[in-house]
Amino acid sequence: MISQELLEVLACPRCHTRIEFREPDVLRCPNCKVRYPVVDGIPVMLIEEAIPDGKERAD
Amino acid sequence: MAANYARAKFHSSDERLREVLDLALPRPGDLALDVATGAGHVALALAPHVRRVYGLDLTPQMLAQAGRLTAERGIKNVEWVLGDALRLPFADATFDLYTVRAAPHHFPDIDAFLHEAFRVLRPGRHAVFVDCAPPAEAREVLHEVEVRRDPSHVRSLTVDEWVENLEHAGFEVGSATERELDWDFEDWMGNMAVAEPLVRELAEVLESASGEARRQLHPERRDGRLWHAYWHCLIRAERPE
Repeated sequence: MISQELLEVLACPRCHTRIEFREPDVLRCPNCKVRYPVVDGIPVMLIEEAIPDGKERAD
Repeated sequence: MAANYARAKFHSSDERLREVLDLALPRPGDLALDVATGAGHVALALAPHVRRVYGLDLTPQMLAQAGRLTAERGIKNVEWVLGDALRLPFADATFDLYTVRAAPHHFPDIDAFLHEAFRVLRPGRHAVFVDCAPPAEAREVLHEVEVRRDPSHVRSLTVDEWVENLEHAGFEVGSATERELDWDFEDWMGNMAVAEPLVRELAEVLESASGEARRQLHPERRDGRLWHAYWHCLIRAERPE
Protein backbone atom coordinates (compact mmCIF):
# COMPACT_ATOMS: atom_id res chain seq x y z
CA MET A 1 0.00 0.00 0.00
CA ILE A 2 1.52 3.31 -1.11
CA SER A 3 1.07 6.06 1.47
CA GLN A 4 -0.75 9.29 0.69
CA GLU A 5 2.41 11.15 1.65
CA LEU A 6 4.50 9.31 -0.95
CA LEU A 7 1.84 9.90 -3.62
CA GLU A 8 2.07 13.62 -2.92
CA VAL A 9 5.79 13.81 -3.71
CA LEU A 10 6.03 11.33 -6.60
CA ALA A 11 6.73 12.98 -9.93
CA CYS A 12 7.29 11.73 -13.44
CA PRO A 13 10.98 10.85 -13.83
CA ARG A 14 10.89 12.23 -17.37
CA CYS A 15 9.19 15.62 -16.95
CA HIS A 16 8.83 16.02 -13.13
CA THR A 17 5.08 16.64 -13.35
CA ARG A 18 3.26 15.46 -10.21
CA ILE A 19 1.84 11.99 -10.54
CA GLU A 20 -1.95 11.56 -10.67
CA PHE A 21 -3.46 8.87 -8.51
CA ARG A 22 -7.09 8.14 -9.31
CA GLU A 23 -7.49 4.41 -8.85
CA PRO A 24 -5.56 1.83 -6.82
CA ASP A 25 -2.18 0.90 -8.24
CA VAL A 26 -2.39 3.34 -11.15
CA LEU A 27 0.13 6.16 -11.17
CA ARG A 28 -0.19 8.44 -14.15
CA CYS A 29 1.71 11.37 -15.58
CA PRO A 30 -0.88 13.70 -17.13
CA ASN A 31 1.80 15.49 -19.14
CA CYS A 32 3.48 12.45 -20.74
CA LYS A 33 0.17 10.55 -20.78
CA VAL A 34 1.77 7.40 -19.38
CA ARG A 35 1.11 5.17 -16.39
CA TYR A 36 3.75 3.83 -14.04
CA PRO A 37 3.08 0.31 -12.76
CA VAL A 38 2.94 -0.71 -9.11
CA VAL A 39 4.50 -4.13 -8.48
CA ASP A 40 4.22 -5.84 -5.09
CA GLY A 41 3.15 -2.50 -3.61
CA ILE A 42 6.24 -0.70 -4.95
CA PRO A 43 5.88 2.09 -7.51
CA VAL A 44 8.01 1.34 -10.58
CA MET A 45 9.07 4.84 -11.59
CA LEU A 46 11.23 4.04 -14.58
CA ILE A 47 10.78 5.84 -17.89
CA GLU A 48 11.33 2.60 -19.80
CA GLU A 49 8.58 0.84 -17.79
CA ALA A 50 5.98 3.57 -18.40
CA ILE A 51 2.81 2.41 -20.15
CA PRO A 52 1.35 4.83 -22.72
CA ASP A 53 -2.36 5.64 -22.25
CA GLY A 54 -4.51 3.19 -24.20
CA LYS A 55 -1.98 0.36 -23.94
CA GLU A 56 -2.11 -2.55 -21.53
CA ARG A 57 1.62 -2.63 -20.82
CA ALA A 58 4.99 -1.31 -21.91
CA ASP A 59 6.24 -2.64 -25.27
CA MET B 1 23.49 -11.24 -4.77
CA ALA B 2 20.80 -9.31 -2.86
CA ALA B 3 21.11 -11.79 0.02
CA ASN B 4 24.90 -11.31 0.11
CA TYR B 5 24.40 -7.58 0.49
CA ALA B 6 21.91 -8.00 3.30
CA ARG B 7 24.64 -9.57 5.43
CA ALA B 8 27.78 -7.97 4.02
CA LYS B 9 29.89 -6.72 6.92
CA PHE B 10 30.85 -3.35 5.51
CA HIS B 11 27.36 -2.33 4.49
CA SER B 12 25.55 -3.31 7.65
CA SER B 13 28.15 -2.75 10.35
CA ASP B 14 26.87 -0.41 13.03
CA GLU B 15 30.03 1.66 12.90
CA ARG B 16 29.69 2.31 9.16
CA LEU B 17 26.02 3.23 9.55
CA ARG B 18 26.84 5.44 12.53
CA GLU B 19 29.24 7.52 10.44
CA VAL B 20 26.52 8.13 7.86
CA LEU B 21 24.15 9.27 10.61
CA ASP B 22 26.87 11.51 12.08
CA LEU B 23 27.25 13.21 8.72
CA ALA B 24 23.54 13.32 7.93
CA LEU B 25 22.48 15.10 11.14
CA PRO B 26 18.88 13.87 10.72
CA ARG B 27 16.13 15.85 12.43
CA PRO B 28 12.84 14.45 13.71
CA GLY B 29 10.73 16.39 11.17
CA ASP B 30 12.83 15.47 8.14
CA LEU B 31 11.57 13.84 4.97
CA ALA B 32 14.61 11.87 3.80
CA LEU B 33 15.57 10.08 0.60
CA ASP B 34 18.16 7.32 0.46
CA VAL B 35 19.21 6.73 -3.13
CA ALA B 36 20.52 3.40 -4.43
CA THR B 37 19.39 2.08 -1.08
CA GLY B 38 20.14 -1.55 -1.97
CA ALA B 39 18.92 -3.72 0.90
CA GLY B 40 17.91 -0.52 2.69
CA HIS B 41 20.54 -0.36 5.42
CA VAL B 42 20.98 3.43 5.43
CA ALA B 43 17.25 4.12 5.03
CA LEU B 44 16.44 1.81 7.94
CA ALA B 45 19.18 3.39 10.08
CA LEU B 46 17.76 6.85 9.35
CA ALA B 47 14.15 5.84 10.03
CA PRO B 48 14.15 6.26 13.84
CA HIS B 49 15.66 9.75 13.49
CA VAL B 50 13.40 11.28 10.82
CA ARG B 51 9.70 11.73 10.12
CA ARG B 52 9.75 9.59 7.03
CA VAL B 53 12.28 8.07 4.65
CA TYR B 54 12.00 6.74 1.13
CA GLY B 55 14.53 4.25 -0.19
CA LEU B 56 15.03 4.20 -3.95
CA ASP B 57 16.75 1.49 -5.93
CA LEU B 58 16.91 0.27 -9.51
CA THR B 59 16.70 -3.41 -8.54
CA PRO B 60 13.44 -5.09 -7.47
CA GLN B 61 15.37 -7.91 -5.75
CA MET B 62 17.18 -5.40 -3.55
CA LEU B 63 13.93 -3.69 -2.59
CA ALA B 64 12.33 -7.06 -1.80
CA GLN B 65 15.24 -7.68 0.57
CA ALA B 66 14.80 -4.19 2.04
CA GLY B 67 11.09 -4.93 2.53
CA ARG B 68 11.91 -8.10 4.46
CA LEU B 69 14.36 -6.24 6.74
CA THR B 70 11.74 -3.54 7.34
CA ALA B 71 9.15 -6.12 8.38
CA GLU B 72 11.67 -7.96 10.60
CA ARG B 73 12.48 -4.74 12.44
CA GLY B 74 8.90 -3.50 12.61
CA ILE B 75 9.80 -0.15 11.04
CA LYS B 76 6.76 1.81 9.83
CA ASN B 77 8.03 5.11 8.41
CA VAL B 78 9.98 3.72 5.45
CA GLU B 79 8.73 3.13 1.92
CA TRP B 80 10.47 1.81 -1.17
CA VAL B 81 10.43 3.13 -4.71
CA LEU B 82 11.89 1.53 -7.81
CA GLY B 83 13.72 4.26 -9.66
CA ASP B 84 16.91 5.62 -11.12
CA ALA B 85 19.28 7.95 -9.23
CA LEU B 86 19.86 9.77 -12.53
CA ARG B 87 16.12 10.35 -13.17
CA LEU B 88 14.54 10.76 -9.76
CA PRO B 89 10.75 10.35 -9.63
CA PHE B 90 10.21 13.17 -7.15
CA ALA B 91 9.09 16.76 -7.37
CA ASP B 92 11.63 19.59 -7.05
CA ALA B 93 12.66 20.72 -3.55
CA THR B 94 10.96 17.80 -1.79
CA PHE B 95 13.53 16.44 0.66
CA ASP B 96 15.14 17.72 3.84
CA LEU B 97 17.88 15.13 3.60
CA TYR B 98 19.38 13.13 0.74
CA THR B 99 21.78 10.25 1.29
CA VAL B 100 23.66 7.92 -1.02
CA ARG B 101 26.24 5.39 0.08
CA ALA B 102 28.53 3.02 -1.79
CA ALA B 103 26.73 3.49 -5.11
CA PRO B 104 27.88 6.50 -7.15
CA HIS B 105 30.84 4.51 -8.51
CA HIS B 106 28.21 2.50 -10.44
CA PHE B 107 26.59 5.57 -12.01
CA PRO B 108 27.29 6.20 -15.70
CA ASP B 109 26.67 9.96 -15.44
CA ILE B 110 27.89 11.79 -12.33
CA ASP B 111 26.63 15.18 -13.54
CA ALA B 112 23.07 13.86 -14.02
CA PHE B 113 23.16 12.14 -10.62
CA LEU B 114 24.31 15.29 -8.78
CA HIS B 115 21.93 17.50 -10.75
CA GLU B 116 19.05 15.29 -9.60
CA ALA B 117 20.25 15.22 -5.98
CA PHE B 118 20.36 19.02 -6.02
CA ARG B 119 16.95 19.32 -7.67
CA VAL B 120 14.99 17.24 -5.16
CA LEU B 121 16.68 18.75 -2.11
CA ARG B 122 15.06 21.72 -0.43
CA PRO B 123 17.18 24.88 -0.39
CA GLY B 124 19.14 25.16 2.85
CA ARG B 125 19.14 21.37 3.36
CA HIS B 126 21.97 18.95 2.79
CA ALA B 127 22.96 15.72 1.15
CA VAL B 128 25.42 13.07 2.29
CA PHE B 129 27.67 11.19 -0.12
CA VAL B 130 29.69 8.17 0.99
CA ASP B 131 31.49 6.17 -1.65
CA CYS B 132 34.78 4.49 -2.40
CA ALA B 133 37.30 7.23 -3.12
CA PRO B 134 40.90 6.10 -3.52
CA PRO B 135 43.71 8.56 -4.16
CA ALA B 136 44.44 8.89 -7.88
CA GLU B 137 47.52 6.61 -8.01
CA ALA B 138 45.90 3.77 -6.05
CA ARG B 139 42.80 4.14 -8.20
CA GLU B 140 44.78 3.17 -11.28
CA VAL B 141 45.45 -0.21 -9.65
CA LEU B 142 42.13 -0.63 -7.86
CA HIS B 143 40.10 0.17 -10.96
CA GLU B 144 41.11 -3.07 -12.65
CA VAL B 145 40.30 -5.03 -9.50
CA GLU B 146 36.95 -3.25 -9.08
CA VAL B 147 35.67 -3.77 -12.62
CA ARG B 148 36.75 -7.41 -12.76
CA ARG B 149 35.23 -8.08 -9.32
CA ASP B 150 32.01 -6.28 -10.27
CA PRO B 151 31.46 -5.35 -13.93
CA SER B 152 28.88 -2.75 -12.87
CA HIS B 153 31.67 -0.66 -11.32
CA VAL B 154 32.10 2.44 -13.51
CA ARG B 155 34.61 4.71 -11.78
CA SER B 156 35.58 5.87 -8.31
CA LEU B 157 36.18 9.58 -7.80
CA THR B 158 38.89 11.05 -5.58
CA VAL B 159 37.71 13.39 -2.82
CA ASP B 160 38.99 16.36 -4.82
CA GLU B 161 36.99 15.23 -7.85
CA TRP B 162 33.92 14.83 -5.64
CA VAL B 163 34.23 18.39 -4.38
CA GLU B 164 34.75 19.75 -7.88
CA ASN B 165 31.69 17.90 -9.23
CA LEU B 166 29.51 18.91 -6.29
CA GLU B 167 30.43 22.58 -6.64
CA HIS B 168 29.78 22.36 -10.37
CA ALA B 169 26.26 21.05 -9.56
CA GLY B 170 25.65 24.02 -7.26
CA PHE B 171 26.30 22.46 -3.86
CA GLU B 172 28.23 24.10 -1.05
CA VAL B 173 30.52 21.45 0.40
CA GLY B 174 30.44 21.66 4.19
CA SER B 175 32.62 18.69 5.00
CA ALA B 176 34.65 16.35 2.78
CA THR B 177 37.02 13.81 4.25
CA GLU B 178 38.88 10.82 2.92
CA ARG B 179 38.85 7.87 5.31
CA GLU B 180 41.28 4.98 4.93
CA LEU B 181 40.34 1.51 6.13
CA ASP B 182 42.37 -1.64 6.61
CA TRP B 183 40.66 -3.84 3.99
CA ASP B 184 40.31 -7.61 4.04
CA PHE B 185 40.71 -8.54 0.39
CA GLU B 186 39.21 -12.06 0.51
CA ASP B 187 36.23 -10.81 2.50
CA TRP B 188 35.68 -8.11 -0.11
CA MET B 189 35.81 -10.64 -2.94
CA GLY B 190 33.39 -12.82 -0.99
CA ASN B 191 30.72 -10.07 -1.08
CA MET B 192 30.48 -10.55 -4.81
CA ALA B 193 31.04 -14.32 -4.75
CA VAL B 194 34.10 -13.97 -6.99
CA ALA B 195 35.41 -17.31 -8.30
CA GLU B 196 38.66 -18.53 -6.71
CA PRO B 197 40.89 -18.28 -9.82
CA LEU B 198 39.84 -14.66 -10.34
CA VAL B 199 40.40 -13.89 -6.63
CA ARG B 200 44.01 -15.08 -7.06
CA GLU B 201 44.48 -13.00 -10.23
CA LEU B 202 43.12 -9.86 -8.60
CA ALA B 203 45.26 -10.42 -5.49
CA GLU B 204 48.24 -10.53 -7.85
CA VAL B 205 47.18 -7.19 -9.38
CA LEU B 206 47.20 -5.57 -5.93
CA GLU B 207 50.37 -7.26 -4.74
CA SER B 208 52.29 -6.25 -7.85
CA ALA B 209 51.41 -2.55 -7.51
CA SER B 210 54.46 -0.32 -7.61
CA GLY B 211 55.55 3.23 -6.82
CA GLU B 212 53.15 5.66 -5.18
CA ALA B 213 50.18 3.31 -5.69
CA ARG B 214 52.00 0.59 -3.71
CA ARG B 215 52.88 3.00 -0.93
CA GLN B 216 49.21 4.02 -0.70
CA LEU B 217 47.76 0.51 -0.95
CA HIS B 218 50.50 -1.18 1.16
CA PRO B 219 49.28 -4.71 0.36
CA GLU B 220 50.48 -7.29 2.87
CA ARG B 221 49.86 -10.90 3.87
CA ARG B 222 48.85 -11.63 7.44
CA ASP B 223 48.51 -15.32 8.23
CA GLY B 224 48.13 -15.90 4.52
CA ARG B 225 45.30 -13.40 4.06
CA LEU B 226 45.76 -10.33 1.90
CA TRP B 227 45.11 -6.92 3.46
CA HIS B 228 45.42 -3.54 1.81
CA ALA B 229 44.19 0.01 2.17
CA TYR B 230 40.79 1.10 0.89
CA TRP B 231 39.34 4.59 0.94
CA HIS B 232 35.95 6.24 1.22
CA CYS B 233 34.86 9.82 0.96
CA LEU B 234 32.52 11.13 3.64
CA ILE B 235 30.87 14.27 2.35
CA ARG B 236 28.11 16.61 3.46
CA ALA B 237 27.03 19.25 0.96
CA GLU B 238 24.26 21.79 1.14
CA ARG B 239 21.91 23.16 -1.46
CA PRO B 240 22.32 26.88 -0.71
CA GLU B 241 19.25 28.97 0.13
